[in-house]
Amino acid sequence: MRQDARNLLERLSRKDFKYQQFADPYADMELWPIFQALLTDERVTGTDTRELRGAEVQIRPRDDRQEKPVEAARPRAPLFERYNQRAAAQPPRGGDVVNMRSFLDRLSDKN
Amino acid sequence: MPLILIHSPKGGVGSTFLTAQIAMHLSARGHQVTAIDFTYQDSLKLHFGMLPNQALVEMSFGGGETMMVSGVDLMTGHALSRTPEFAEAIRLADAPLFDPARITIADVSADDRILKGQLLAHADLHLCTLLPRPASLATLPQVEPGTPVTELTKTMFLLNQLDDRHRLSRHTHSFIRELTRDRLMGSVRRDEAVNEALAMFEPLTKFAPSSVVIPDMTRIAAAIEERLGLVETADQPEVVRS
Repeated sequence: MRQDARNLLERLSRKDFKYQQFADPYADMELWPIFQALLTDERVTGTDTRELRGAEVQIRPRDDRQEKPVEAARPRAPLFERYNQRAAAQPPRGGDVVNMRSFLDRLSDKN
Repeated sequence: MPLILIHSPKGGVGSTFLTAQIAMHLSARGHQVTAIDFTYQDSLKLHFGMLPNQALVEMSFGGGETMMVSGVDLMTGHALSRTPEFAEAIRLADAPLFDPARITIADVSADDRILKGQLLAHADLHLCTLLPRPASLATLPQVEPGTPVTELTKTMFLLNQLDDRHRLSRHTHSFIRELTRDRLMGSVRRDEAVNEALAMFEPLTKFAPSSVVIPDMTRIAAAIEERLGLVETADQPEVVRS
């Protein structure tokens, strides 16, 4: 616990407060993909900026569904194996704070 | 007096709770307030401490019964809003649908977009509730289809159930503040006391007077007064009745 927080709690005589120190500074804002999707959505910003790719979607006639080959059953993986694979993969994307700030600033200038 | 429309394109974000809180806080600040539940769920009354089997009075043209709860004139408008007469009155905009001497707050279901559009034409303020969760944020483009969020004029946003212990919640707060700028009317911290008050059939102000939600709602009520020009100075002493 930070010393200034400890001093404050002692002065307040509060024993029932939970203390948590955040890893990221409070004012920081990571560019989560959901934020990026909204910032590049013309319906939100009024600006046509297509930078984020969504999931690949194929549109076919309905009849095509019957022709789709049935995928052979794969051997069952151990339960929760997918989480192990994810942990071994790349870490989550971090915060591209500068880009989003500049985008929002441009948006503000436009308004 | 103004009509305040409360509607979000995403259900389950706390719009009904905020309708009740705004109504009670504006009433406590000396305004005459009518809150109308336009939803089929009929759950607005629970936030006033009423029981599920207690019926609200029906909204009607030209008078009828009134029901005062926690200082608020409370009624349901769901049945009336389904009538041709209501649609005609909205279209002509000359019928006394809402008492001109009172602030009227309308709670509309997420999927009731026709009614939302009808009322928005007459509303002085549209409050849209968001949660710091992706499913809620993803509905932002549907707040007013055809008009980008950054160009909305009547719409202000309320960010509900914030929890600073969670990273996404903190970042969402910053993101929405930057995106909406002065259209973020306020934020409300998450407090389980809201659910507990509902379970006890007591208004939050009585069940948990020290809830963090109450000062948040006080700030929002003051911001609404300022936005709608209801007071000359926003800072007034306040007593919240329960």
